[in-house]
Amino acid sequence: MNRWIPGRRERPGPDAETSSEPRTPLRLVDGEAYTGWEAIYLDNVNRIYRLMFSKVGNRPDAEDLTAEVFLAALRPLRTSASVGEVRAYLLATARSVLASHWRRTLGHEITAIDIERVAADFGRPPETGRSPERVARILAALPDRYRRILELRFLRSYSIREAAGELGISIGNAKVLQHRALRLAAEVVRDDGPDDRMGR
Amino acid sequence: MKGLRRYVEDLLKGRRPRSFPVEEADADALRLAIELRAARPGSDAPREEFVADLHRRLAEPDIARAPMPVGRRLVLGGAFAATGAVAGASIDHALTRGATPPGDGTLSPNRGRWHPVADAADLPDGAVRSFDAGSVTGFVTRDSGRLRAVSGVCTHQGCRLHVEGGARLRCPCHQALFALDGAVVHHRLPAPIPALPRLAVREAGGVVQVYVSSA
Repeated sequence: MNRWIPGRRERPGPDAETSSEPRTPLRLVDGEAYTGWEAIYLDNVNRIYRLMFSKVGNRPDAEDLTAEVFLAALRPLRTSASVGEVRAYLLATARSVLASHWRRTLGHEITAIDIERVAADFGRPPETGRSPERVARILAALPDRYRRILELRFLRSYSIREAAGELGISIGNAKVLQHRALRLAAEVVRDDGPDDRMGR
Repeated sequence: MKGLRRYVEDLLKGRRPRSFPVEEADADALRLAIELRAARPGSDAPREEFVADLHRRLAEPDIARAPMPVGRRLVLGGAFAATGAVAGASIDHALTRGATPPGDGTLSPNRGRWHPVADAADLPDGAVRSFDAGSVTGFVTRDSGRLRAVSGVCTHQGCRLHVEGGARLRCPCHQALFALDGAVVHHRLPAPIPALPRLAVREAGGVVQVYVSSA
């Protein structure tokens, strides 16, 4: 996977020289950090997408917001330089893009990006689904049937019909169960103390 | 309550959720639903097509990092202007991709004259010269043998541009950056700005001339 490679700071990559002919416009990105906007993009697109997905929970929004971050950030970025600055700038852009997404859609800031917290993770190679511990803790605190319906629907992609079949209840009851489970789980989260993933 | 259910259903189906009037209590449930949904194994990796597509979008000249594809860009310049068909103009407009803000494309006065701006010998391939032709100031360049001239005034607030690094035109006021063919390379302005107008240019008798208003 793509990772931040601190060594690039000191040494320009092997293609730093070749990139100087056809793509000279990009020399705005300090050659000592990234070799160009493409390096920035390829190195960060997965991270930004995952971050956005963890904040909005659906692909269409996560894709739009990711695109918005890069479209907005890459221009100014090319004037500035080091890996650290690039990373901070992308995150700051992501934070404001997400905030305006919530303002625009629900009028409530449902989730936010806590830059300091995320920045620590941002340097590490991305792993898939790292929130499970917390999710598992929340689910474990629920009564059995509530836990089951949430697991089936959210984690295992069961349709409402399939989940109802699995639990041996009617579809109507499954809907009600799911709704109550979500409300109850939200209370568990409130009692669980400050949230360490969702930012606020 | 209905809105919340529908929103959650959209999340579960992977659709773009529709907004609804959110109350405080909903916000907590929503946040949790998002977190649960995001924890579904394997669902947080971007689609390859998305990554490739965004890559392409970022590479477009409007966002301007790749060098202008010269051949496609414009038919004006040397050859065209030299035939005297100055008014022809904005073929390039139709060829420009994507959402470039509206610009005039080409400045071509109805009544004008060819104004000398440089000796041809002073404009080798790759060179940039500024000129002041009275009613118009700008820059003339020769790129792979082809002459180009663009206005030297920023399309944002009219500041005079200067050459940066021999290959770009920089606005000192708000740092907008233009390519030598007038395309916007980047800017930090809230709204897009048009490309620099191009001027008809030709070489006659060893002199580079720009067609400007005679007024």
